Amino acid sequence: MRLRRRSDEASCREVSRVLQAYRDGQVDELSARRVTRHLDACRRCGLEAEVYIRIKEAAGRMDGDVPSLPLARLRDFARRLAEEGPQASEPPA
Amino acid sequence: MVGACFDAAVAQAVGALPEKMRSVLQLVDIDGLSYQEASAVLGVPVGTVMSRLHRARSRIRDRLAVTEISRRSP
Repeated sequence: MRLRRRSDEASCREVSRVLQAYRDGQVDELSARRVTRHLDACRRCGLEAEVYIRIKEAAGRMDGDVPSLPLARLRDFARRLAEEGPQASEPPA
Repeated sequence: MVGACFDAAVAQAVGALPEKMRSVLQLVDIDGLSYQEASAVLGVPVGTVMSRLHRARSRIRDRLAVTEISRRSP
């Protein structure tokens, strides 16, 4: 993926389009350099980049398959049922 | 929000994603596949992978913001 304009400076709008691909290492070298310069200079885009990095890293620390929310709730209910017996409260809807 | 608390919030947000977004996030961020590889696994164009990944992460970000606001509210 690449930034379309060939000028030295990238705008916030351009950067936001490629920001996640940039963080995933999926942009060409020239575009990566332009994005890096922009992030160093633009606080707003720099903060947004930081948020996406933290989300990506946190997701990377998750083990194994990602359970769907309903499945996670069912598993939690099954665990409580095993631990507490019939007194376990009903799973949330 | 930091550390284990942040990780737990992200995990919960990921679990709440629609299946198509969750699948892409699983392949790219958890399994470490490239966009091209994820595209091949899912049988969709690379652009679709990028779009779903972008929307998934944006949803997680928005959910984290709501969670933080809720946490700080009295």
